[in-house]
Amino acid sequence: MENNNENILQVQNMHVYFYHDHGVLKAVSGVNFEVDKQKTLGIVGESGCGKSVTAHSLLRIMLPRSKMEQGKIYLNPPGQKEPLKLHQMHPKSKNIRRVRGNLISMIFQEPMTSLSPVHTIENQIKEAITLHREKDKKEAQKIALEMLKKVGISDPEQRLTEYPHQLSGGMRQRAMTAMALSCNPYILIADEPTTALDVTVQAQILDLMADLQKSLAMSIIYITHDMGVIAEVADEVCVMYLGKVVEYTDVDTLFYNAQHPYTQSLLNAIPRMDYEGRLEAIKGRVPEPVDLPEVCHFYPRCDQSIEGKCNQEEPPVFQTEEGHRVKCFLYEGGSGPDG
Amino acid sequence: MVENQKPQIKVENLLKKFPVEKGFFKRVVGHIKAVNRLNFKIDMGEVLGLVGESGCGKTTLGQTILRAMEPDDGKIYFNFGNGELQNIMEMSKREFRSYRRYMQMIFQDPFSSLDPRKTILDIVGEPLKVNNIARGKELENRVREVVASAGLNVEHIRRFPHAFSGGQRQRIAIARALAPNPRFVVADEPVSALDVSVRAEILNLFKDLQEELELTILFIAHDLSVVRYISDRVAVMYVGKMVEIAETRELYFNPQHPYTEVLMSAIPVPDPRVDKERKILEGEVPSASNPPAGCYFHPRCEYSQDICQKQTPELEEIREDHYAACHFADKLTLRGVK
Amino acid sequence: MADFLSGEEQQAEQQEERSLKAQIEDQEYYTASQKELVWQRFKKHRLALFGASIVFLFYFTAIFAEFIIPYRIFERDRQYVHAPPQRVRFIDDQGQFHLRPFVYPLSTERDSRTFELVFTEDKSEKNFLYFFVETEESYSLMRFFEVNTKLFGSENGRIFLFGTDSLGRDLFSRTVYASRISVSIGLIGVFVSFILGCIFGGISGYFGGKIDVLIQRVIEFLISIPRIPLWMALSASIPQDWGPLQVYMAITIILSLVGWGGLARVVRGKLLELREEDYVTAAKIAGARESTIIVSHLLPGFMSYLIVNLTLAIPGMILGETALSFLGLGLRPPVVSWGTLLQASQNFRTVARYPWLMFPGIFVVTFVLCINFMGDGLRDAADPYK
Repeated sequence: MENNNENILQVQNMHVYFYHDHGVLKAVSGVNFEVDKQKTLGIVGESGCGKSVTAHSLLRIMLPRSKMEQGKIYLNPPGQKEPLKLHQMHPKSKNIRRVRGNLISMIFQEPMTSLSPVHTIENQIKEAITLHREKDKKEAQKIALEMLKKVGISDPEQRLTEYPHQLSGGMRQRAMTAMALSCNPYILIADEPTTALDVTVQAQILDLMADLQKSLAMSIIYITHDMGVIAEVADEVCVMYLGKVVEYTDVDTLFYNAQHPYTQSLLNAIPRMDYEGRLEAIKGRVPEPVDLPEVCHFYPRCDQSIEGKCNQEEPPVFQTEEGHRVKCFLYEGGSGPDG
Repeated sequence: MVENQKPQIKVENLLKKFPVEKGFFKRVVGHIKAVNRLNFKIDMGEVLGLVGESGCGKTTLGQTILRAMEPDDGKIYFNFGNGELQNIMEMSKREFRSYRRYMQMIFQDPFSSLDPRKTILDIVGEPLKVNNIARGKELENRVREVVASAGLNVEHIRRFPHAFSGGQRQRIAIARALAPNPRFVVADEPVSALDVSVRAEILNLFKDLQEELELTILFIAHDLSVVRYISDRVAVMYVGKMVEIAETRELYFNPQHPYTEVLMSAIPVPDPRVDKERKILEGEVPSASNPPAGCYFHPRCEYSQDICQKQTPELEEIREDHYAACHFADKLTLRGVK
Repeated sequence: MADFLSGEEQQAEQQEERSLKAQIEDQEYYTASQKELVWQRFKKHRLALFGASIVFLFYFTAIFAEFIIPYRIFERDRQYVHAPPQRVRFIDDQGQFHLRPFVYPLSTERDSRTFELVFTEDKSEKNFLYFFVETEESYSLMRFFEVNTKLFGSENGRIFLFGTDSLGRDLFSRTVYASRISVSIGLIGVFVSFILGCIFGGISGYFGGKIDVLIQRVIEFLISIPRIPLWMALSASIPQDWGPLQVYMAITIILSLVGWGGLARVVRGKLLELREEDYVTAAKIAGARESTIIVSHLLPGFMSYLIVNLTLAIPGMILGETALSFLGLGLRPPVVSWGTLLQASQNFRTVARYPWLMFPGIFVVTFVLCINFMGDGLRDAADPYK
């Protein structure tokens, strides 16, 4: 996997562990994925599956008590021969700060936590711009105004002078997006950006992101627990369960030919408009993620598990078809569950 | 759908407003009408879904019809099983207390809704104890019974809430609500705080218990697909007003109010092959303390005309059992879900 | 037996055993009440545990003060005026180790120029310390028991662990005895504040509206008055001819009158917060009376916070008493409290020459620090459900 021009980002065998008093929590354990240029990678999973930690680790943001034990993160900015090795950068180094907000940007579920309450929107966007781009204040202001227009904020001149608390939830999310995109990043990481919003506002933001992706030619890593949102935004999808990617494929295959039992159950558990029958719940519950044995973590809840195998060793990743990877013993030897 | 068409609860002209206070001595400078003169009924054994965006007053409605918050005006008729409708607003607080057991509630946050200092036995037994329904051994037996029917291990009733996960806590909350054999339950976003796989379980539990106990439920949620799954009829709220009520399929596939149309088009469909074109709503939700004149939705409505700015439309029956509050409800052809 | 099992089987067995153990521990955790959980967490806080044990030691010595002190507090000895503290030793001048601790007796001499007493250790003799010694006359312990045993003493000569004061009274005895008043004033003061705070905070938070606004403004007013002048003004109004007990009560009430505001705010804030909890609404919907809700949900909910705040209010009370007495506005001699004892060290010359007069100050600092450590630990442990 050398500097392949198709991918803008490659993550190889990433492990991030949290060290607690009562044991080791492997929040991310052996995650692999690639992000294609100008495409959207969706990461989907339930709470505690490690999707958010994965996103933070890409920017080398280490949460308290956590450590990235292993893994390689290569960023391939266009026009550069050598990929940037993000995994070798110290979380507090100058190098990684040059990447954050500039080459890779991030937006969060709750914009209030990442917008400063004591500065106006204008100052915050300007700061982001002057930090990474060699622009003077006048130019920065112009870009800030342009960005607000781009993210569809009405009356942008007025909004620039306002503070985050004066904006509604949807507007805040737009303002944060404007700030994140002000340096034309190659990748935007969106960590559940619409979870706290109403459906109509969510629709607005999803629409906006699709437009911006086209006009700014960027890649997006979209993290969510909502299968509906994934179907709308993603090109490729990683399904995560307890720190591991269990299935990795393109979005159409995911919804029409899901292979991992967890993905299949997840799809059967969501109510659909055109289906009146009963929902199929997944039995049991997500186990405590501390000090788990090295076996298939989904084994206790799986109805297709192989006794003596799934609970004995960890399933490797099988490639069942081009670009479709499944971490499940059912696909050993490249065959499906039925032969 | 429901054979027994007698209303379980009927609400007339219900109003709940909150004062807007300002300054050192908290002068009242205006009111937010969170529930703005609503009229509707829910039939016996029916599940009415209530949808709307945050701040539209759906939670306040849920609490006022149980008199957990005192309404400012209006009548609430309730059928306590003797076949007639009694106005619970005419009862004194004291008098009403003994009737509370017939109307229970399930909350959104399973962490805040269970007192962390009480065991499951105490929590689920509380409605039985305060209403003198059961005591001692009898109470424990009844608690075991409902806890089991909510799908929990009866051996765990001496445990405290911190021993349980979110989904299990929600089961405890359901057991508590069902312990005094209520006729009506308000479920306020009961699955919003839960993960996808757990959500399905709790929804199924709701459905089973509702059918088994012939419960009447007001199911409040912002997730339209969840409401679609569980409800017989659905009501849509916008800024304190009800804009449309209809039978579920009818409302989803044949909406008659422009706001409902936008809501339906905004639902993310878990199918990548579905056409992604949708209606995007312009502008923002108006403040309930200072709503626009005429129809509250008109500034954002693509079909708006002069009359919409002047006259507030009332909820009217467009077709049988299909009510909408729009001047052009029967003239517009609107798109439902795909 | 183990020989017959393969490695894997052994492993499996061990694992099963371990998971069984974990299950039992979980069982305990799941059925642990709030008190148990708070204690579990408090135990992990080392500094708090240390603080708590010192605090209890202080209260213990205050209760059994008469037993612990070797001399009566008013017992003067002309021979030993401003005597320095004696060192307790195990190893004598010749480097010989003695299992029983001893002090060298002090020999006095008068300086021929300044006419001051000069103390030197007389190394030819040893005064051994004995524990649980019989006294010649019996004394009353806590006013109830007639006892004639003291914690320690020596057979011949006297022992001044902290030295003596200007009248030749043993400072150790006085300091320990003084803790009785000083530490109890904190408790009683906090108790009075607690009652006032609960009543006013409760009314404020429960009824809300105009009464709430009024009470909040009064509290703000009280808090905004500088403390020392207010204390001074209030204590100046204590009649000169009141007896020590009356003054003691008056000072306590003054301290708590000034101190209840903060507690009332805590009570109000917590009450408002808890009223919003869904489980309180749930109880209401279940048909519970207001009084039932208060007793079974609200009170237990904020009790832990109250205890924390009470603990953290004790040092304020103690420092208040010390400050007032030090300034001569609170308790007055002959009553012994840490504040009145520290009065002796008011001028710089005395402190420079007889630094041991500051010993009561060390007691104040240690006690206040330890109670703060304990309060911090309690605060962290108070809400085990986060």
